[in-house]
Amino acid sequence: MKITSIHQFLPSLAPRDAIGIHTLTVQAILRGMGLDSDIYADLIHPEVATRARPFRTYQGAKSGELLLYQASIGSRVADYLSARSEPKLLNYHNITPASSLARWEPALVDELDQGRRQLGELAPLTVHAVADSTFNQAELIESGYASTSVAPIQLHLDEPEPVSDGKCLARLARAKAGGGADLLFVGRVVPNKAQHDLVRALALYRRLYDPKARLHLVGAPTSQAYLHSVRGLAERLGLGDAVDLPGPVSAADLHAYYRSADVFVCLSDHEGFCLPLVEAMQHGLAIVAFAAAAVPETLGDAGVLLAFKDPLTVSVALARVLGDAGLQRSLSAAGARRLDALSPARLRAAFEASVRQAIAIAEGS
Amino acid sequence: MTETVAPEKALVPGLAPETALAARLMVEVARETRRRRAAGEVSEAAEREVDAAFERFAPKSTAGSCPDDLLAAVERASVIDAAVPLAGRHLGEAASPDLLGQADAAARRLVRKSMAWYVNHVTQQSNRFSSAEVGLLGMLDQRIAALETRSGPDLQPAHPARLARWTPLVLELLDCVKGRVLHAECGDGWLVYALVARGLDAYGVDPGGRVPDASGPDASGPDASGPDASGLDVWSDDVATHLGAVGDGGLAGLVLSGCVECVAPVVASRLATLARAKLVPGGRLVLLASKDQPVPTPLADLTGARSMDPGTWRHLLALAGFQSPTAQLAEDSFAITGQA
Repeated sequence: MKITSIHQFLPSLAPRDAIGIHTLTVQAILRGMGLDSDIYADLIHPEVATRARPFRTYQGAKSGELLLYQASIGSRVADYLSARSEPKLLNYHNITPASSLARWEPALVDELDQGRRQLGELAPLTVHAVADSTFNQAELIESGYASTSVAPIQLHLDEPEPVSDGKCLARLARAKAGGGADLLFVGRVVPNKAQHDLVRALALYRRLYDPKARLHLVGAPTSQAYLHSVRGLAERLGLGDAVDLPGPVSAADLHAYYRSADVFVCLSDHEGFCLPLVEAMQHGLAIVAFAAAAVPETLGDAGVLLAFKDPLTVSVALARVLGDAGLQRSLSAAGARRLDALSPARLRAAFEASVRQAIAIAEGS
Repeated sequence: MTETVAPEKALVPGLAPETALAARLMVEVARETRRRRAAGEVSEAAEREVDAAFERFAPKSTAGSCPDDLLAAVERASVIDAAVPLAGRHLGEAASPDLLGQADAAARRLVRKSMAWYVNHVTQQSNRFSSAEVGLLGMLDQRIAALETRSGPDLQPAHPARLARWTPLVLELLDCVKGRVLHAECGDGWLVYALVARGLDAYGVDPGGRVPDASGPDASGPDASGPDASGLDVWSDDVATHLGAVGDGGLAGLVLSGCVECVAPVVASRLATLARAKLVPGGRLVLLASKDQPVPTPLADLTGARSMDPGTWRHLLALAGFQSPTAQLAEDSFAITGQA
């Protein structure tokens, strides 16, 4: 059987979401390889309504089709695919461990558990699985996937900077004029990204090194309960004015945050890839990160990796980086070198190689 | 204390040799952190206070919370008060004094009374059920406390002196490791002292927060000219919490004692998995535990307050991915060694 089409399926397609961008880019890659490729999703954002179709409208039954599932959370799309006979390819973007959210958002636990269950159920039905990182690949192997490869998520590093009204940048500049370093973390406000550890570290860093330092925690809250706790902790530690929780921001404002930051700090306990690390490298920021999950792999040697993330260790690392302009330049240069490995051409080549591997297996079976 | 800097590659395993800058920074950060901690610049009491502050804002859960507090929270939440929503005046107020207004008010009063009857009925049933549940939880709590009391002194965690016999074995096994070595639960740092004296980059964690004094730990190492005991890197923290916070592959050696006594199999299994994850491939594990006396009553099995058999530990460690765990037995304790 010769594979002539690879259609993608995913729980939701949104225009600015990392997996949404990846899916649209993968469609271009697949079409560039001479394959037919459509996108089918459960939820489709109006902005990309013309790019995808409801998953139940998939006709199927055509020989030579491979169905590619973008897996990141529990979804009825996965159950739909499990019941279909076409050969499948899976692209795994990691599923947040339910245990990290159980205390905070019990309602989400079922969805995450469902995602893990579906991941296991799809294993024997999948000819090949592609992971964003070797960390994710290890989870696939553990879930029973026999054939796997690694191809990072498709990034759009060459996009022009969005036009900003300058208000956000001006606000950040005004704060900076008063002195103190700007620490930045970007990511959903959720326990596994450990924003509370960043607040704890900021408290000690201000006491030991820089009383005017500020922390910006940019991202939408997945857990309101956790957001409330992080805010409460900041207030309790007297950091109400020093910890900025702006929630989700526009692409232009996000650029403003990166541009005005002095260092990017990541103390996440679980990251399947950690796209903001790459964005920080793009903005030439020095990075201090806790070596957990896929963070060491994504960061490479383009930052300071910490084996511990107690407030003292983090504070010392921040002081070491922020107190040495030459070191910041070196780390920034290391980031630029790391970005070379994540250039669109290389990412595309890596994904194409994985797809060819999958096609070879499907055609041989 | 002796300043022993771990070889650069060992701090974050898997690092390519060309990443010298990042590796050097990590060594510098680790060294400065140790210096500041040893100098007492960070109060452990203050760190615990911050943790407690965060817990106050966090939702209650069974993990990491005091059982008495949880029970009290359940009791407080068990009573539903329907009076507040039903006491509102709006439902019975007349919209206007004319006939239509009075009819409207009468209709509203009727609705309100009907609602009150129905809601009160449901609430009473719910409160009766919750009250019974809280009573049951309280009774179970008392029974567990009674069982723990009855389990007797034989089931208390081993005194470090009982385990000190294994010091030469630990030193021999960990002598070759390159990187950080953790002793959890380290007590007053008796083994950390011996490891540092041997030139290892060792630190300890103990939930009791027993900071070693300058005169040296109770069971100090064989090297009399060892490091200054007051400078030992000993943290006050819960073992599972601390291990959870260590990056994967962040340790080259791990000694577990204390925390492996009197744990339920499921807890032991979690600990084994956690230990495996935190050790660099090839890293060494030593588990030191006491051997139990016969359990007084079969009921004590239910409390999970027994030390596990060495064979069970070996099995759990093998399941967690340790290579060929080996047990060595003494009269009152045992040691199990394994390689990640």
